[in-house]
Amino acid sequence: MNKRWKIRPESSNWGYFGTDDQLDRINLLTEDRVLEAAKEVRTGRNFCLSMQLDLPGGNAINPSRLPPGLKPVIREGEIVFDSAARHDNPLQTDLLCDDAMLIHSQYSTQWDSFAHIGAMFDADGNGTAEHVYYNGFKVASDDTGEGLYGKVGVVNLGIQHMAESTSKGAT
Amino acid sequence: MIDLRTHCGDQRRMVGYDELTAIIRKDDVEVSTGDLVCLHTGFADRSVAAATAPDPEPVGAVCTVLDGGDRKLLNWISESGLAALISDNVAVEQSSSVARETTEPGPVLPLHEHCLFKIGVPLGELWHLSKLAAWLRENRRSRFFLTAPPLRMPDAVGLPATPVATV
Repeated sequence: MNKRWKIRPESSNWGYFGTDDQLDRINLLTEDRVLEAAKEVRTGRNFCLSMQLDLPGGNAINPSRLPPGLKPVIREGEIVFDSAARHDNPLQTDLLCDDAMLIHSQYSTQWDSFAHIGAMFDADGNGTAEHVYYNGFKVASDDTGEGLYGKVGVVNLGIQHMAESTSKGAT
Repeated sequence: MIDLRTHCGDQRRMVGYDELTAIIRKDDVEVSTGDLVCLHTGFADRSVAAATAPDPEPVGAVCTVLDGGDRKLLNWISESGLAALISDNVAVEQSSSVARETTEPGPVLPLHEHCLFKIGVPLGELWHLSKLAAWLRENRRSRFFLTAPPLRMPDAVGLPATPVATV
């Protein structure tokens, strides 16, 4: 018996790729499919399909999403920017830069994981709708009712599954 | 690549099943199982132009969006077998920041509900497709090789990618 749901939403395909599947249609990008898609490479020319990540600019589109910001990295009390790698040994000629970033993950060119949108739906068939996402998964922990780091960090359906599958295909 | 912009222009309006499939037929685009389907509307292109203009201003509501309320369109997404749906606009469909009248319980983002919640189709948003769309049109092609993994950050719900199309 399926451990996550008794009822699946109308016109859904939950379970098609297995009860524990978190990739769904990305499963279609098989080795054969990649070989087929590779036939579309005829000139070797590449196109970068990302905007600069600080675009579309401002936050008029979505007031809660801000452009990414670069932050300094502190090493032994000093910002690492155009700095001598070692102050105590002038014989060492290396210069260093480093930085950190705060990114609103959906501000610019991006993928939505299946954890982005769920629904109030009675998947367990008890007559009451609950918080549920693709394939009957929850994004909050059953134990704490929260994510991995408070109210952030999904316990299922994170975007890493897609990264690990190394999406390749053609259109 | 489905090039809505060439047929629909830059006015903000919704495109449903009938118009989408007419464009697909007209441009002789094939959509088959496992395809990563890109929808070119021009929105990202307009955003880049607006942000880099001498007097930058918000791009506003321009270019087409899919009609997430169109059942036939949602069925087409299911039956086409496409593996992901990608657009150069904010939310593929009309985004939730635009107030939608609701008279009965249901999603504000029906295409998101259908793709992410029901049938497991990842959505790519705010990709920059205009240069590729123009090249493909010029070369009478619609298909290309796409490499586009998100960053491998665990437990995040969305992430940037630097997608590369190879023709």
